[in-house]
Amino acid sequence: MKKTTEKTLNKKPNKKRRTYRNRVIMILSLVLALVISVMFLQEFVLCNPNHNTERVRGFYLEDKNSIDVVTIGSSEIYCAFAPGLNYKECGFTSYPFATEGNTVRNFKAMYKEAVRTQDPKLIVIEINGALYSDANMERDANLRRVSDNIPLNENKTDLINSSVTENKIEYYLPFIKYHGSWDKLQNTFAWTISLMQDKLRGYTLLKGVKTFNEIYKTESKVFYKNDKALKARRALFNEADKTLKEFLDFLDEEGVDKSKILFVRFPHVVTPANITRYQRGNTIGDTIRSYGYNFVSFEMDDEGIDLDPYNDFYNIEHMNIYGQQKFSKFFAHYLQDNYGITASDLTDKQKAEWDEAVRYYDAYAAYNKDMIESGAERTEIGESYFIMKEIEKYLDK
Amino acid sequence: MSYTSIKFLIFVTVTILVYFLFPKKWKEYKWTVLLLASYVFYLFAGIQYVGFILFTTASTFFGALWMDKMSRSTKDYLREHKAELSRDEKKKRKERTKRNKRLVVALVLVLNFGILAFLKYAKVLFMGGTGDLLVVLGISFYTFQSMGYIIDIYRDTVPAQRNFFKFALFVSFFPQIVQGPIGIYSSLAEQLYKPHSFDYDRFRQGFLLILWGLFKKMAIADNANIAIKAVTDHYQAYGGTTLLFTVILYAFQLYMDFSGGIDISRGVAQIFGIDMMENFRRPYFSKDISEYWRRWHISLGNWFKTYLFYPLAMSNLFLTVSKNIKKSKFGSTKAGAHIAKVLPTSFASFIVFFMVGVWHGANWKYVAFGVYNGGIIMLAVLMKPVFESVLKKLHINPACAPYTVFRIIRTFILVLVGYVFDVAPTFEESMMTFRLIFTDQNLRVGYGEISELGLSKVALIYLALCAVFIFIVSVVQERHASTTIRSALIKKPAIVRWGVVYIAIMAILIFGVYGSGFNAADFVYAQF
Repeated sequence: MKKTTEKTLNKKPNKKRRTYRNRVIMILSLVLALVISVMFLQEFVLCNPNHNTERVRGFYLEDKNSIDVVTIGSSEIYCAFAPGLNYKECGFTSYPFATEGNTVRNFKAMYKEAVRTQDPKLIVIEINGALYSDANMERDANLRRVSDNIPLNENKTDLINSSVTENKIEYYLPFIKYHGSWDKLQNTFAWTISLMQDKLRGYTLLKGVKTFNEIYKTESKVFYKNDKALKARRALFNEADKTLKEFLDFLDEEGVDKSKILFVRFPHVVTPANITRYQRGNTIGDTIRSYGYNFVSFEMDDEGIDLDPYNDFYNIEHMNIYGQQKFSKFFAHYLQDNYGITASDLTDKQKAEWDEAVRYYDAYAAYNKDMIESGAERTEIGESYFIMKEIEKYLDK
Repeated sequence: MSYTSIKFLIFVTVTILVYFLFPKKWKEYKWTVLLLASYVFYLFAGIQYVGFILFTTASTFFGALWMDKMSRSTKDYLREHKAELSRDEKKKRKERTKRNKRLVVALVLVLNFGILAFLKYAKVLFMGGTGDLLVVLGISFYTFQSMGYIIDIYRDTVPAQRNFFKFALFVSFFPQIVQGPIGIYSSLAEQLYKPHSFDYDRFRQGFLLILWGLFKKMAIADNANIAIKAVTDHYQAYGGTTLLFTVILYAFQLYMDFSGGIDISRGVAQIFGIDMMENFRRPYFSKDISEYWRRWHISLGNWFKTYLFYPLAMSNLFLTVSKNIKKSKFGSTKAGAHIAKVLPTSFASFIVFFMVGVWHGANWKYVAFGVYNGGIIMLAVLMKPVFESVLKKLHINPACAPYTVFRIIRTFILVLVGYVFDVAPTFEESMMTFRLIFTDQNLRVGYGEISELGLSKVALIYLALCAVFIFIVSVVQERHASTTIRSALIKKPAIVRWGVVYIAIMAILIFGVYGSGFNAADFVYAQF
């Protein structure tokens, strides 16, 4: 009888302890499940996934010190400069570290990230980001396309601190901003799958390239290289001017090797509608040269790229597949000839990845041309899931 | 500090920890944690508002003590001089005390309701502007709560609180100060002062209620509010179909917003061991408007019933009118007898709802809202025999299910009519709304307008599904009123319980409206 009572007494605290232990385990499991769920959604689903997300994150998937040429800038870059084609033509590796509407304010962080993750032989910076108006410079989306996709580190923190004063937590935890995009998932589903595939594969297939299957038609006057208006200079918008100079000062302070940086202006169709941008581009060129950096403008096809403004662009600022192939080949050889960029010394695994990138680029180009020639509906052709399914049909054709 | 903010979550967590880790040897002072937390909460709204709540607290506290002293001294005097005083002298003494107490209670009521009225109406009446002169956090709720207490003291139904700080806690208890429920001293005060120990079951129940409230407020009401705000910001730009849609959506939004907020308040209080009264009981299942007001904002209804309706209905004036009708020739008829019987209560109801309307704000639309509700209730009471005879003639059993459903739908439509006054920015625009709803119905135009209200098609489907979900939950709650879904859930296996908590938190995190908000248009590059 005594024994039974003792047993019961001993059992009670044990039972209580077990209950407490179970509760703690359940609470910790719940917290863990919530954290994992939110992180997953933030990473792949509720993150406004699009070609910018894929391209910037794709840059970080590249092996350390495996990229020879990093191009920093905005949409001009990934429509005009195709890493797969460059590799096929000249054997060097490259990557467009670029986003839509990317402003010069983001360049410092992107430059630091480029040299932190890679040891590029050359960094090419397209100057479109310094042409923006003050309002465009302040657009949150222009910052977020970059800041949301840079991993958490000092450069990301600097970029956020120098760009925003309010709601900073949302830049570190983008879920707070993007959780409300659940009703737009149907539009972003293809990019979500693509992001997950990239993560599992460990690299992107098209290396950030994209364009539209369209040919730009204009009835407006198109300027050619000898037009007098092209010689004029126009002042930059205040914020862009200030930020460009701050970026150049930063490069000086860093003591970068000036032969390892090239500022460029990629080709555009120049008409009365955007002549002022061209003239601001001249001013930017003067400023950059005054700091002792190289600046080359390909805007007017001075180098004989043989671009046709009536066939090789899908709009006034961006090239279609025809322009992309002409310019990318030209520019790859230009870099090889003028900057001595040679074929990379890659591991077998890296070589296999880049060979795959070439195959996919060729299929992408063929699909793109077919889409234009068949008069298909205007489509964004990049590395989203459903487009890749179509591109894969052209592999090794 | 909004109840749906991270700041509030941290604030509540810290308060819970401090309260339950309070040293046992000083447990009788545990309530001071709640008082301190309530004033910290209040200070977050702005130091400039503290003066108002302190004034109400002090004037009510000392007014109550004064009346209590009068009652005591009279009682003592009567006891001491029981033998010497005649019956008339005793009666006189009692009457004098009552008169003096009435003066004190009137003074406190005038001062406090005067401040409330001044802040609500001064701008409109004296400055030619619109809106409140100053929005003081929770002033309506703590004023009603305090004035209920002072009237209770006047009526000798509760003993006066002798500790100023304890009374200050009753007035300022943070979970209820923003939107109620309006507590009654006799049922709330002792709960506040009692040293509660941590109770895991109470914690679970409170936590689930908070989650439910957050879901209703953040994931339903705040989403619906996007469309409602788009309409009210440009009210005259919309046709009758969109306005009708907005009024229906408003009925859903308001219920989810208000009841969600109250659930958060009650959940937080429950964790501290304090049971606050239920403020909503599935109001849209009401079978008539009177029932609706017994299910909607129950604590406000109770307050008006206890402190305004009964005194009015039992007042000499109303009872005399009723008696005179009864004695008259008309009073000898069946209709006259009925009117004489129900006139005091129906008039009192009308006045109560008129006051409810006026309390909402200095705008004719609120007066119209009060008159509309009071008028319907008055008519319903006065016309009851007519309705009953019509039912009898039509051979309709009032208890049958189809008639019950008809009554519920009819009441909901009547409620919607009242909401028109609430949604429209002005009385004139509410009249315009009625006109457009009846004369300007065009589904195609309406669909076009509704799709431009800031809610995508997916979001509208989501809200419709939420409405179905809330309806199902409400039916279950209505059928099992004696228990709560939370109590049933707690009895389920761990995997189900924790699964529901996980789903609820994820639903709030994903569907809730918080942060700066995502707008796809911001991300569309103008030239691309």
